[in-house]
Amino acid sequence: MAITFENVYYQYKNEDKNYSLNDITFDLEGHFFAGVIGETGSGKSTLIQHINALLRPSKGLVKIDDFTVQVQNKKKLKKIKELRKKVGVVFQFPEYQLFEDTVLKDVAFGPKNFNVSKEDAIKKAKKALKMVGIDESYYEKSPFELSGGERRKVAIAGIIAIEPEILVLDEPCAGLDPKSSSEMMELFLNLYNQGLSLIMVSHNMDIVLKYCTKCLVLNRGKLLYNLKPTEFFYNEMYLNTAKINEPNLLYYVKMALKKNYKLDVNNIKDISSFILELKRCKNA
Amino acid sequence: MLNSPLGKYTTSNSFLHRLDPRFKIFALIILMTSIFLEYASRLMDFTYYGFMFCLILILMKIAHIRIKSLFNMMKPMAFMIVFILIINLCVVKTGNPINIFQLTIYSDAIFNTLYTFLRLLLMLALSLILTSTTKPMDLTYALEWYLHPLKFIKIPVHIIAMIISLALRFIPTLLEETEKIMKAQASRGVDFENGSLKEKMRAIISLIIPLFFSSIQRSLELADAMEVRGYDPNAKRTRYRINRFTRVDLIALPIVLILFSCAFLLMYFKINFYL
Ligand SMILES: Nc1ncnc2c1ncn2[C@@H]1O[C@H](COP(=O)(O)OP(=O)(O)OP(=O)(O)O)[C@@H](O)[C@H]1O
Ligand SMILES: [Mg+2]
Repeated sequence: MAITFENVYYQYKNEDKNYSLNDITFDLEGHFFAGVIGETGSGKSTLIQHINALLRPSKGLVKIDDFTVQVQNKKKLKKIKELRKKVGVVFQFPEYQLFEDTVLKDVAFGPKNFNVSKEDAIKKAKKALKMVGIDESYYEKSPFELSGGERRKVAIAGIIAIEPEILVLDEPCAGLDPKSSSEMMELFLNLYNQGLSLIMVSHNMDIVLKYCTKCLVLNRGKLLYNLKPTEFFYNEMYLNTAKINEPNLLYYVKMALKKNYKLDVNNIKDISSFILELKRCKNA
Repeated sequence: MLNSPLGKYTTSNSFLHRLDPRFKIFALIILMTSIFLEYASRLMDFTYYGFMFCLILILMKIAHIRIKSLFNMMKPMAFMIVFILIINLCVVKTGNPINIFQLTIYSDAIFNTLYTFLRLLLMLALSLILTSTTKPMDLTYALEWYLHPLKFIKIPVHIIAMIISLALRFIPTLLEETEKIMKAQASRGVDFENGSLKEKMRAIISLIIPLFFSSIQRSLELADAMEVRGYDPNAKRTRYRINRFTRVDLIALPIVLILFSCAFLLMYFKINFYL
């Protein structure tokens, strides 16, 4: 699995002087769970739409394995469909995409479009719904009767059911209660452990620090950093340059550092790893 | 990707932007009428159209409207023009016959199409000037003003005006939403461009249903939002911005009137070129 951006520029309107993406170059290789962070309007959603060719760069090129997306290259339809099978994108407000008369049919809609037989599609749909925590009593409900958070879960299931190799998520936890949110994150972690690669846009820095293996930091359309989360978040200067608030965890880590604990911050990703690290220091 | 079907308002502070929208609607109607008058001869007609076209180009220049946007507006009409030409060629059998290969075509067929084309072009250009220089809201206020007399036969003009202005306001939102939904469905493997008729139907259904749903949702929310802020459809409305007939209108009004009078006199007295 490899995603490569080479000097990608993107401009929504030709007249506009400023680019929504400005000379983005990076690559993600192997097995990754990448977080994309940045202020509102920094170009995160624009960036991820390039990964399955919903947007095409104004300049530069994007490579996903052996697919190349560049300026208006009119690839054959079949190829684009293959790319969209490989890369599943869950949008920032995915609840807009629901349209079938029952939840189950709606989730099965994706796989069916990729030439999966009806029975298999239903099977995959049931599996995906179970993963996101929607139980059987919902199968025959209309998607329009669900609450906002439930709709979001169904929409995420709709993409998971396609069984992509790369799952791209635009703020998947926005609007979910804390419990659903952490369940959702555990699900993504599970998928990651099963071999999927993920890219997630998030405004919750604690989540990014805890789960991601890489983090891409955007600011006004430019890619500032492509680092491990621990390398990024424990560097005050980086945080200030990117205008990103530190994760809540950092407050306590800093407090411990002030008390002369010799912590190895590279190991601290969440509360439990923090406690482990504290214990290790105490014993040393 | 998607453009508003109405001309887009372009921000500027030109002479045309500052005119009273009520006057602009009046001028639009007057000038359009003059295009449809029948002058003494074909040559006169085309001369007048040529004159109008020059005038329109000057106005577009003043209002900073690009010629390209007029061209974009005409593009969808190309098919219609060709269609009309074919119909005309088949039906019209007057005027000078011209032989091309084995076919006999009549000059009137060509002229008829040319008339349609020119009138359409001028009409679209005039409305483009109106919509590019007037905010949709101001336009509805002006319409409301013209519909005022209908109040006396108990037609709720201000409610209709509110409906129109809300509808206009939501056209761009709707287009944006369409684009979002298309993207979301494309990620689920829907192909909006290719495919058999059945697949196309399915693609369109997957677009229309969420669109309807979100529009209805949005309008309910909007209605609630208006109500909690005390909106009463039957109350007397006041405006933040008031259309005023100003000095610029006083300059423009006689120009338009004189222009129209000339056109009318040309028609009425069948004034022609004497060569
Ligand atoms: N459809 C569009 N048309 C024109 N400009 C757009 C469009 N979508 C986004 N932009 C512009 O592109 C820039 C980047 O937008 P983008 O949606 O990628 O931001 P984001 O990082 O996802 O923000 P958020 O955190 O709010 O989701 C913004 O300045 C925005 O104004
Ligand atoms: Mg976004």
